[in-house]
Amino acid sequence: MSKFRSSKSSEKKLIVTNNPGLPVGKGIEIERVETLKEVLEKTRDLVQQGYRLLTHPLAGSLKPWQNPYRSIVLAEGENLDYRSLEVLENALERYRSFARNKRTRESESMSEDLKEDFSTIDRELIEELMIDN
Amino acid sequence: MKLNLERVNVKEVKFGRENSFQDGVVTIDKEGLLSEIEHDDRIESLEVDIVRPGEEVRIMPVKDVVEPRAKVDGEGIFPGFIGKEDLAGTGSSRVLEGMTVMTTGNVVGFQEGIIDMKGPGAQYTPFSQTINVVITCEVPENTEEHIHEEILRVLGLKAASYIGRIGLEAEPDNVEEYEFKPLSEAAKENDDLPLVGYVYMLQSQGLLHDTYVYGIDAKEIIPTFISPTKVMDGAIVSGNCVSACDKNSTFLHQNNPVIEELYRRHGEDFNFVGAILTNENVTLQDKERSSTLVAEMAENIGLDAAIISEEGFGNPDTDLILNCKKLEKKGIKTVLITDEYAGRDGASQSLADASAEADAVVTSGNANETIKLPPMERVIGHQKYADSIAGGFEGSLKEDGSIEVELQAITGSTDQLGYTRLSSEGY
Repeated sequence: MSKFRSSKSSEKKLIVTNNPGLPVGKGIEIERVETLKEVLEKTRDLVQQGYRLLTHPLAGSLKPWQNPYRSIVLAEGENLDYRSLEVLENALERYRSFARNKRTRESESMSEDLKEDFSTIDRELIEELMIDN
Repeated sequence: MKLNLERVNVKEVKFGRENSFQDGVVTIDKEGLLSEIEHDDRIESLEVDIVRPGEEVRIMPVKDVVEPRAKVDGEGIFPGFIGKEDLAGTGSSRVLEGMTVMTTGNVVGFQEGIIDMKGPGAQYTPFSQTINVVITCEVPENTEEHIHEEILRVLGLKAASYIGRIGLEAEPDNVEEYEFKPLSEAAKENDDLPLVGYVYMLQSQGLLHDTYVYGIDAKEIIPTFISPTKVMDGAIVSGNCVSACDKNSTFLHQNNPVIEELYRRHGEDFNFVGAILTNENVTLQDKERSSTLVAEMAENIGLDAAIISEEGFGNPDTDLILNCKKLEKKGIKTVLITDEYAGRDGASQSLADASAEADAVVTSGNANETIKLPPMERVIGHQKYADSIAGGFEGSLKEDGSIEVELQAITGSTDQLGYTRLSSEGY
């Protein structure tokens, strides 16, 4: 069984996000994109280049893809991490299936208050890793 | 360690001048309750209502549901918040059965949790069958979400403890004894039966996804072997707001049916030795660490088999599958309990993760199924949030006050501990 590898503090970390409320982290690079789909696709590209996932690409128990914002933390590496690719392809497949049925939501249709709440929830999911750096 | 659960059947709940219990009727001194629970100066207003099964009432958004209980010596339960640490899980606890304390509050704009006391929605939540003391708490609009959540969480525990003490005047209708024996002793008993444990997964992903163990945020724990009697005494408290259908409210932890069933069949079908608490954290490293420690602990205990219940969905599906795989790899048989997100027609893949080792899975229902809830005479809480409730969708609140939602929005509808009103039929 392939395993998720642990993160080392010396590793270079990168966040892919479409969350405008994500602050700039110390010593952590941020790649900003517009849509949820772009977050997943950009992350997949990076995994294919040797980055590996530090956080899970799916949110916690919100309705799948209800939150228009997503931030994913990766660590730089040199070899393809198959477990990361598997987890990410699964997430992309889930996303596509929800998008086909028009069940994903984009932030444009939401009130400012709601956007802010979703942004907070997404930020909180990765805050622990931001503080560590 | 032994715990006696002294159950008192509640037939009616009303307000009165003094707290009392007589002939199944719980009388609550409302002013006394209010002054007990007004624990934070950021609380702007508090309202308390009593709602009963069959009344045309909708409650939303529900934050937590708690069962009123008290230690018979007068102390509270919920160690780490109210109860004394050394009393939890031992001695005697009085239970007011048939009623709950329910807190409402709008922590974030997309919060959820509908309970209808009548009509089709009532069939999907266990809490349409209980008499509920509903507390509506308002805080200033700019209150930070974490603080708002904590105010509501503590308020529910305080109310359940205050009302729970009223039960001390009652004669218990029945008493159940639960025992947690030293492992060396427990393993020797019924040694012809398989040794079975319970892997109890707790949501622990930050704001709105938190659970507390003895007052400690579950994301900070490493897997812990615990006496199931402590769980009954409120060792696990929900700080979880999202996904009404399958979050384990504090009530469900207190009344975990997996634990009750494991006790019921202990000594007959298997030898139940205890529960391993574990979390569902965000990082993949945490997921690996927790699942590895769960499997090692199960192996050290000598388990032959384990029941694993998930809480929530999405990335916790990965924790569920990791726990399953790592136990199976050590030769420990697993049965998983989870609900499904299989699309409105039930045809899509149910979980976000899967594995060939997960070959014994019990489902507690498809949370994507939709249901129409007719308008109710009275709404306690905030109906305008129905549109943004998880499980609701654009336009789900109709002009006449009816709502079209997925089961996901209904509190406890697909609870993964099995405390639900859904069942299945073979054809």
